[in-house]
Order: sequence, then C-alpha cells, then structure tokens
Amino acid sequence: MKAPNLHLNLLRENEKVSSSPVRLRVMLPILTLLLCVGCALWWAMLFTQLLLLRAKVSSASADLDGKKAAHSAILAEMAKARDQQAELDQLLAYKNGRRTYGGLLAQLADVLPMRVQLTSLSIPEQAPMDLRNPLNPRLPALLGPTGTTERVTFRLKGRTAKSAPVTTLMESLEGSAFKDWLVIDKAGPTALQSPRVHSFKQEATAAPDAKRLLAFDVEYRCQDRRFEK
Amino acid sequence: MKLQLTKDKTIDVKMPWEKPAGGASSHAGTGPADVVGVVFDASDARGCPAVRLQRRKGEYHLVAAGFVPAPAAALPASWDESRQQPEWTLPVAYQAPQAALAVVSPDMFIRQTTPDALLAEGNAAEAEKSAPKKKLGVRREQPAEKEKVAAPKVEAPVPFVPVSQAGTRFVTAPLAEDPFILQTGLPEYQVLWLSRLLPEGKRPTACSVQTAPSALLAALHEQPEFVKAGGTAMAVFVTRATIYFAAYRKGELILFRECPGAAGSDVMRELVKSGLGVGDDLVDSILEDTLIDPRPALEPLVRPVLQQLQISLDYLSQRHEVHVDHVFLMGLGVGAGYWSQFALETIGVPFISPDVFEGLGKPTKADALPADLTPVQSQAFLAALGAARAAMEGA
Repeated sequence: MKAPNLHLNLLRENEKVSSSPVRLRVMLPILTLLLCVGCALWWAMLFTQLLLLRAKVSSASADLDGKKAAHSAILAEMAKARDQQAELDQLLAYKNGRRTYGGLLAQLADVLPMRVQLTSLSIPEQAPMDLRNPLNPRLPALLGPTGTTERVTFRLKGRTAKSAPVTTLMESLEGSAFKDWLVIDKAGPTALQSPRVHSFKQEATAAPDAKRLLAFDVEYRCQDRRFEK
Repeated sequence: MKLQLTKDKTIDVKMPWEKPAGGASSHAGTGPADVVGVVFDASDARGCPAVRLQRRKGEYHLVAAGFVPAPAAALPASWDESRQQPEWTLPVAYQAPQAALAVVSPDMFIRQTTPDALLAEGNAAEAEKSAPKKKLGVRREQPAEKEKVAAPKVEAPVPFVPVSQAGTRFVTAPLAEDPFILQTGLPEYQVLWLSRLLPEGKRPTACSVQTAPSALLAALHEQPEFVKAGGTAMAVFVTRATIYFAAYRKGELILFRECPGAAGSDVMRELVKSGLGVGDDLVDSILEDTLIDPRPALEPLVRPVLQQLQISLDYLSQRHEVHVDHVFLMGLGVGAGYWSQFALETIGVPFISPDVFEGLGKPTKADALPADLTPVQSQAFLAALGAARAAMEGA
C-alpha cells in the first residue's frame, strides 16, 4: 500500500527556523569579522616585522660602511702579521737547523793517532734536491723542498803507513765523545751505513823515502739538520 | 541538509550520505526523522496532546506521548492580538528538532472542492478588492474607464504550496478522484503567530502548521487493520466540535466531507448529561459501562451521522465501485461501543476503534507515556500523531 502525501502544511519554507542554537546567520558574520580581524592583525605583525627588519638592515649597512676602512686596515695588519710570523717561523727553523762542528774538530785532534796524516776534512755539499713533480715530471717544478730535514756527512781523507792507526781512529770516532755529531749505523742499507769506507788503498805515488803509503777515504753520517720550530 | 543563511533564506544542500528524494521508499517518507506533533487546542483543560515520533530504519517509533502545558496566550483572533507573541517551550521528552502543530481554531476551514471553484472564488475576491470603494457624500460622475478596472487574474493553486489570499492562507492537496482537491486554511495572522510560537534556537521549532482535521487524515496509515484492508476503508473522525468522513482507496484519499448538521463529542456528552440527568463526572462511566443504557440519549446524535455515512458509502460504491468493509471510528474517547452497535444496526458494518498507537514501535522510555494510557484514552492523541506522521511523510 502506498502512503500518499497528506501533509497540508500552511507554513512557507522561509518561515521555518532552525532549532539549533548555533545560527549561521549570526555566526557567519561574527566568524567572518573575527577572520578579518585575525588577518589584519597578522598582516600588521608581518608589516611591523618587515619595518623592523628594514630598519635593522639599513643601520647594519650604515655601520658596515663605517667599519669598512677599519676592517681593511685590520685585514692588512693581519696579513702583515701573518707574513712576519712566517718569517719568524722560518728564522726559528733555520736557528734550530744550525749545527756546529767546532767541538767535533777539537775532539778529533785529541784522538788522532800518530802516523796518520789527514789530507782533507770536509762536510760535502748536498746533491741538489729533485724538485720535479713526483706525479708528473712534465708539470711545473715544485716551489721548494718538500722535507724539512737535510742529511749532513763528515768526510775524512788521509794517509798512513799501515792500517792499524786508521782502525784506531775509527774506533775512537765511534766512541761516546762523538755521539753528539756522528751517527754510527753499520747494519742499515749500504747507502745509509756510517761509517762508510770509500777507499783504503796503497797510494800510487811513492813518498820521497820511497816508501809506499796507504790512502784512506772514510765518510761519517752526521746528525740531520732539522729545519723545524 | 538545510542551511539557514538568513532569516528569510534557506538553502537545501544535498550531502553525499543523504538519499535523493525520489529514491526513498514511500513508506519511509522524505521529511524530518524526529518530529513532535502537538495539538494546539487551548480549550482542553488537560493541556495540549503531544506525540513524539522517530523514524528508525524506515519504521515509525513512538518516543513520547502525553499532555504538555498550553502556552501562556490563546490563539489570536485578530491582527492586533497577533502582535503579542508568547514563547512556548515544551518539556524535555518532547524536544525533538522539529515540531508539527495541529491547530484547532474557530476560524479554520477544510473542505473538498475543485480547482475551478477555487479560481472563481479567488477572482471574485480580487475583483471585490480592486473595485472602487463607495464614498459617502455628494455623488459625482466618475469617468467610465475608471469604473471598469480589470481585476488581476488568479492562477490555480499549486498542490501543497501555501497560498495567501484575502487575509487567509490555504493549501490544497489533490484527491484520488479527479478533479477534486482538498483545501484547508487558517487566517494569515494565526499562521504567522504560530510560526513564531516555538522560538528559534531552541528545540523544537515549527516545521509544519496544519489544521487539526487535516492532521487526522495521516493518522490512520500505520493501523494494522487499515493495512490489512489494503488501505481501502472509511474513517469517521469525531472531534470535540465536528465529525468528518474520509474515504481511502488503497491508502489514497478519495473522499473527505464534514458531516452536515452534526456536532462532536462535546455535544454527545451534553446529550448524555441532559438525557440521563447526570453530572459531568458520571458521563464517562455511563458511556463505558453497561449498567445504564445511554443509547436513547445518543440516538439523536448518532442516527443522522450514520445516515450521512450511508450516503457516503453509497456514493463510493456507485461512483467508484468501492465496497467498504472496514469503517474506523477514530477520535472518540468513550462511547465507541454504542456507536458501533448503532452502526451494525443501520449500515450493517461495525465500527473499528483501535488503539491509536497500534502499529508503531513502542517507546524505549517507559515514563514517556502516561502509565494508565488505554486505547480509549489514546484517541486524544490522534491529531498529534497525524500531524507528526504527515510532517515526516512529506517535505
């Protein structure tokens, strides 16, 4: 059975009101007003912050302009100080790298046996360092030495009538009196061994008394020069 | 969902979860799902009958029924009186979101008519309104063209749309018998007064204002006997002042008429009192008990009603070939048994007077219904139930 529409309603649609206590026609303008006020406040806060930031920026830029000359002077002073410090460091390194051999020579005179004639006492110059770029030799050379140490040797050349005095001399040089200058290393590689006997042979030319002498050439490695602070 | 943007503007927003109006079943209705129907009858000393109905899963459930205190002021009798606007607040159990008011007013009318008759009435009213008024004093010659002012043409009213005409607001509904329509209305100021009676922002607010006789028509549809009869039945609605006949064919209204020359249950009580010489307090017991036979006192009232009912039944059988086996007697508090005896003797069909709330889901709150509510007493809530039911049925 179909239930027909028997609703004879005398009320018009526009006369019906809502039973909800929340009325849109009241709440909508209030909410809109609050939203507008909120937006205006937010915009005002943003605008104030922008103004403050602009003022800060302008004062900071003015301050920066005022300090620019002083800043460049400070930078120049700092660069100068750096240069001077570098020079000072270099001088200090050279000072630390300085070696004196007067004591060695004085001690040598005391231990030099009879029948030994020293013909040459030298601290040879080091061979020039290889400044080529180790990675690619075709590239420009390096600007300076890569290490801060320098090897130093002490070379003795002389004559004697027989070998015993030379052996005595070498034994004396291995003593504790020379340990501040000479390095004794007989176990290392041949190139680094100390002492290193270059030659010990009969001299070609005879002496005036027609006696043939033995010439010796011995090299000792000294303490390295260290160019460090 | 309806959104009220301004006081005068309401928009209807269709939410995804809402069913379209055409898709809802005819039984479930398309109106609000929680409505309190209230009869606004200031003359009843018990208060105003109120019934709260809820639609749950397509079924109607009774939530509360009882008498609520009447508002502070009576229905206005003129435009001047309508300016005094009281506010009416219902008890908590009846505070549904929406309310359907069924009004008992001496100025209301309800009748079966035709669109042509309505048009003729409307045109006559407009012609009278636009006719030049007679002036007292020296009669002067008026130009002829001014005499012949053409009255605006009145258009036929659209069904279920309220029309304001000559200070009256009325609404029409088509009957199942073409071209008849049912027309009911109230004075404009009473409708406006009623629309503002339940204040905005508080539960409930009025979603429907109906005349009490029109509200009665929808009260019968949930009755099991009515459903069993396939919706084809005759109903005799007895109110305090008037008796109405309504005929249904397959649930649709086919005939509506006011019983001519007959008064309602108040006159019946007066007849019993005067005929049997008893006081007002004994009338109910006499009409309910069988110790004293009140039929001689009732006969002058009931016989003419039954004759008119017979005429209506004959009209139905001859005009529409509708043979009615079920006649409902609704709205009569006491004495229905004697009416039924008269009916059986006169027209050969007894009256059916069921419990008004039969066929509805019962309330979950026991205290929402009067404890001693009998089927006889439930008849007082017929118009309230019908108002709520009609408001829930159609938007």
